[in-house]
Amino acid sequence: MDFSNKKLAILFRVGDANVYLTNTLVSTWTIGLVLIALAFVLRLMYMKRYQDAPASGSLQNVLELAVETMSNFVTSTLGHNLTGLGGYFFGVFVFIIISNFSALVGLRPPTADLSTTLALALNTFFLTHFLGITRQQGEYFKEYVNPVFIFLPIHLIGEISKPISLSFRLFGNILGGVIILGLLYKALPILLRFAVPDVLHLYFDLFAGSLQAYIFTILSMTYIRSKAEGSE
Amino acid sequence: MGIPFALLEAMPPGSILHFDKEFLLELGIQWINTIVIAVVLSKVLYKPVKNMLDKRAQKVAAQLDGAKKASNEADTLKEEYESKLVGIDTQKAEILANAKALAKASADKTLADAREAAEKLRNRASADIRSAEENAKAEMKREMIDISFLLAGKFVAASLDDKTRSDLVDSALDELGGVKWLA
Repeated sequence: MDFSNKKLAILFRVGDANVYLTNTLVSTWTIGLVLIALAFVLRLMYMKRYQDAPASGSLQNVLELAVETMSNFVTSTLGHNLTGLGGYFFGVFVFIIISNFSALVGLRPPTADLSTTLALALNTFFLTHFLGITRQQGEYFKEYVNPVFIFLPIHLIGEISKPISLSFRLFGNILGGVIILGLLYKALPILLRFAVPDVLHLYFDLFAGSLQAYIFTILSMTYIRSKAEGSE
Repeated sequence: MGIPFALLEAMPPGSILHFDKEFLLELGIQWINTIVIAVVLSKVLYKPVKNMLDKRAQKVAAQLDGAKKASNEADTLKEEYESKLVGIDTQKAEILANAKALAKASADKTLADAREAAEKLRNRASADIRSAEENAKAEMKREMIDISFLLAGKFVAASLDDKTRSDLVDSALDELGGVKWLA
């Protein structure tokens, strides 16, 4: 059984290391292109058919509902001072959830690769500490020696563990789903492969996929807020 | 094509998890990919829709404000007009009362003048009547006396001198003054 992220071709070389075109890259680019194209199309349609009072169920209505839900979510989790990050988290949430769903159409979810989840977690990490330093200034550094200096290593480990736990949680959950479904497809006789795995797809791809996207986003926001506003 | 594609068979085996230089390169590529996707989605879809929503919220708020202001203005105008209307009623009543009083006074005056004039006329007329009556009485007395003298003279003509005659006339006049038959 091979659940690895296959190398399809060599893209280019950096020093003595190859950069391969992997399953992850193919699905990331596919998802990225689809999402970006969809974003442009939806935006064009939205601007063209904009109405002050959209009919319920119309494209505009659905789009506004999505944006408003995200905006309210960001405001309630990040607070009123950081609503500018709403767009970034909208993009991250949509990318993660569509990545997790992409197993349904036969792609290898980009989130089943640590490089994707760690990249997302590092964004959160850098945002957290950048906003912490710029918003809290001296207070930011004081928190590392709170209540006494001896606690500095513990604080440091705590901060470093955040992107690790954030990335491995998403990676592990999605990879687990990929492996279990792969095993199931191998184990089932061909005729049964059409209906039986649906239940597991429902759970691992849709349920766990949405849940993990939500968890990743809300944890990122919580980390950022705790540093940007200080933990009092 | 500038990309050196190699055949699938020639590729080294894939992996689930690996920590090496290749991983760092993959991480870098995915870092760029995720940032590009997130930023494009944000700029192309989220921000414009959010702006429209915010603008609409502002518009609705402004319209509500305007409606409230207009309603307040209407209320004050209504109050003003109502107070003016009340003023007009009292003013109207005042003017009417004044006019009535004026008219009554002028009518009274005219009436009084007329009465006075009529009174004067009547008084003058009755005075005229009275004097005419007196004149007529005196005239009649004189006529009767003359007639009486004429008749008496016929009877006592020769026997009476002028002096006696004038005494007789005076005494007769005195008597006639108290006569009632002419009154």
